[in-house]
Amino acid sequence: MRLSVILTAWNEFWYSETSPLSVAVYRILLGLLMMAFVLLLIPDFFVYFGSQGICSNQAVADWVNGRSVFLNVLSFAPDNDKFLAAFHCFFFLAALSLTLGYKTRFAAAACFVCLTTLYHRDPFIFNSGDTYLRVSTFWLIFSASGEALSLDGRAKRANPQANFDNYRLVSIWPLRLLQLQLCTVYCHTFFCKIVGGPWIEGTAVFTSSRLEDLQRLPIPFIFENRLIIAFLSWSTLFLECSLWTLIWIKEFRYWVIAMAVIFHLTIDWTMNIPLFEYLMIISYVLFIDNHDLARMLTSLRKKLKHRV
Amino acid sequence: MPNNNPEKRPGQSILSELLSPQEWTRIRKPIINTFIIFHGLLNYCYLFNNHPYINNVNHFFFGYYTFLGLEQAWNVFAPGPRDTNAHLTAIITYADGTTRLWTYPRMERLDFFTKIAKERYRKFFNDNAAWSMPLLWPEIARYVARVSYDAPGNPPVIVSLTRFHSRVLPMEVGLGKPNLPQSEAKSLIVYTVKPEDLAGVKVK
Repeated sequence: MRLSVILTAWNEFWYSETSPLSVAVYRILLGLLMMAFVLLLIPDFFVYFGSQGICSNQAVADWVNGRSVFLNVLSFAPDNDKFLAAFHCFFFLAALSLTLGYKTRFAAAACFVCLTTLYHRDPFIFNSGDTYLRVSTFWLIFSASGEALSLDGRAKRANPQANFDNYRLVSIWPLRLLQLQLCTVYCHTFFCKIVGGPWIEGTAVFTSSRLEDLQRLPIPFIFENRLIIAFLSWSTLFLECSLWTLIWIKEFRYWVIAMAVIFHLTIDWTMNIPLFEYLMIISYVLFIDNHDLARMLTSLRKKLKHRV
Repeated sequence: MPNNNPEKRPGQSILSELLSPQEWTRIRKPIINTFIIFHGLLNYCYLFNNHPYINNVNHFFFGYYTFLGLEQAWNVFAPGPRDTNAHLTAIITYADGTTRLWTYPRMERLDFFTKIAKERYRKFFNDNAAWSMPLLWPEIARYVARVSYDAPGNPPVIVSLTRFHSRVLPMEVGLGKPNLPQSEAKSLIVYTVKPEDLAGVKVK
């Protein structure tokens, strides 16, 4: 193989141009989930982050042995609950702004700073879904997600009512970063699981179904049958492998996505990990072809107009 | 007001003040390439940290990574799901010698909607505090003392934190059987409450 072939492939992968539609749909869905994230924190907000809460600033500093300085806006007014409340209101407005696509890039940056601040204030309450939300928001800052389906984009478009497939083309590399982030999740979890043990033996789904604090709604019989449990354990490995390999191949892509959606909805039915499954599901939109997405949105708009 | 500068695109205003379009075109790709390769390699080193050299790289860039909160690991339920059920309880002893039991909102006792909002208690107590985070135990004890101080002149003086747990039966013997009760107990900390721990608490 010649070096020029590799460089051409690199350039084509990172530097071609694409419609901003898929990343804009992703931005809206991510923004909605981010608002849900903010609202779900409210009932126990001061327990998690307040001056009289379960975790002090000193405990977090001790945890990392003072090795690092953190991006944490709350450190400007530590143990000030009024400032904390104002900060959370700002976070909600930033998430709303991101969803609507108003000052989109600034809103994405603000959401990222807010997410990181809360993480650094009390890292012990956040799960993998929150990590994914935070890291994805970081990549979203670089994208042109405000160029479509946004208040920002509406102001620029000559005819906002036109079809969904005539947006000005944008650089593809931020979309690629978001896609690769999703693949990283499945790639890492796949390699961590195949080293041996319950996933290879086909018993992992049984053990996870017996974790009482994670149970949500029951599925009768399924988790009591040896063969079904083995099938589900190995299917999980296959699907997680497909989601960083086969998803790049156009002929397999939509099949993989369909299976993954069913997979995550099943987990959401049985396990109480709020938002995580939905964060993964909305990320598949990044892999949908822009023409297909435009067709789906056009059809949706027609149906809504009929209803109205 | 119409935009009179055809070269100046929205969202590029600061950049266009600093660089001409030709200059930006020339340096754009090298900058983006560096950004992509740097973060790609850093993620690889962080996720597949299985060599002393990789550990050195991580140590070098630890400050940047943690400052931005970009550290990530996707090894939940890997290499296998945890095989224990656990919960924490605290016993508060008051100045007059009386005691009271305290526990946080436990997921298995909550209804469908409540447990969605309260899931972070599970993460904090069951995943972190119950096992691998001794530094959180005095934090929890102080918090429990504060929320349990409700009678003037009778403050909490001791908080003892205990973990109760049980193992999930292996599939070979566990199929069709209920989980074992969480009856194995381990005392985590017996904390003597100091007056400053209760500072600022409004007693009803």
